[in-house]
Amino acid sequence: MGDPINKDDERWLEALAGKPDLDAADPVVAEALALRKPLQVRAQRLDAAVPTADDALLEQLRFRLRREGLSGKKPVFRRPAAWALAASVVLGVGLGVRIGLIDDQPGPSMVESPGIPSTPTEPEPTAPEQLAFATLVAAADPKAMAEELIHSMPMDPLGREKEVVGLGAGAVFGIMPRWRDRLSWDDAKGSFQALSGLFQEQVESGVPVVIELGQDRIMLVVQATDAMLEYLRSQNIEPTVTDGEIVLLIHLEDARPPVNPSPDASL
Amino acid sequence: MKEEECIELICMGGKAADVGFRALYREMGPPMLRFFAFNGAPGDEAKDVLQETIVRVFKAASSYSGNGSAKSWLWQIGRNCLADHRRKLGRVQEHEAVFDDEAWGRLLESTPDPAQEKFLEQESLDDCVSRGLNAYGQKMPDRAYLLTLQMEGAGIEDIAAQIGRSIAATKEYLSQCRKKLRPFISDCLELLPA
Repeated sequence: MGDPINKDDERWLEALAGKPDLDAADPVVAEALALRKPLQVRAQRLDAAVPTADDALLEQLRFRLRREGLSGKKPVFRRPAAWALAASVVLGVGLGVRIGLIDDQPGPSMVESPGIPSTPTEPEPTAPEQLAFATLVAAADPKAMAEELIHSMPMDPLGREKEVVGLGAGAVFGIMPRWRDRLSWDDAKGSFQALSGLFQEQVESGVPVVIELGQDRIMLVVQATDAMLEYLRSQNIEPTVTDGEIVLLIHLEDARPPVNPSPDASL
Repeated sequence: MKEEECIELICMGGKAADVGFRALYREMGPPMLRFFAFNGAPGDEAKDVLQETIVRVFKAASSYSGNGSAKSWLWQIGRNCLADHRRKLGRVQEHEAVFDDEAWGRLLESTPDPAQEKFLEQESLDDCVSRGLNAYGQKMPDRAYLLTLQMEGAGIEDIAAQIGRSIAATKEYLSQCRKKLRPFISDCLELLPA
């Protein structure tokens, strides 16, 4: 977890928001109050550059939707189950073809990393909105979908091999150090810290990282390049980009994501 | 109408989609335009980004799983479109320096800052803070925007949805915004009444 904000910051934010009954003589409060007027002036100035969401813009948007053939068109799939079913059919065919093609080539291996402790207990599920940094992908077979995704992904510019790192069930619940504060994974903190350097280096060098969080739960981290974004969208996945990276959390359809409850769930 | 219902309607196609689109436009159009304009896509650029966002929402609506908040999902698409827009324009990719000098200059030219002019005569606390805020906003527009939302009394849930973070992480981020701002206004704090 990240450090909780201290009382000074809390008071400062309250004063900035104009909360009454704060001691104006308090230097922290005074500092925030000194910001309010200049912030308001600046916001008014910038608001002058904000277009109005008027009828003219609405019509422009409708025209664009018609031009793109999106207006009046019915999508084929609505429910995730239908999409997952279709994806698994395509996946099955795709994997069959791939296995046939690369039979004599070394494929990605799911290897156990020595010295990495596993979390003994299964974490409780959490609300998906707490995983706002990740893109949730439901699949009939998460592992197969992860494999298919990374093998179809645009190669990194240096043409390096993609690497799959399997860590065993429940070994880690987060990847990059800067995401630590967004997940509660105390049990796995040691594992995570030991591995974060490896992951960061890999992702930043353009090599996708796959982490097997447990049965039917795969976390896939990739660099958010234009080609990657385009590819994922072609797979009907709208990715969240966080700090130049994309985290896909592929889970079994109708199952909730595999993360410990975050303390802010009560907020 | 809730965002989830708008997406449902869009998925239904035909007239239902148009109703969903209109409702979505009314609900999300103004805050998204403001978000884009404050974060490096002023004026018509904000309209372009909104247009891309709406198109992408229509294309991806059928894949919206219903897991998680629809609002967060929509903001996620909006943020991605803004990032694409910046990439297309070749702007700086570092997420804390997205508003380059050229864009900032254009914006300042179109909207003169009275505080800067007054500064030449005698700098007050407000002027000093304005100057610091402008520099901060130029360097870190996303953080300056969040402080604006906080100053305006926006709910933490709304802010969290816009930046795609949990509530706890959003509070932490706001706290970091304060720390990052401090060097820009440190000399002004001496002007605070004792």
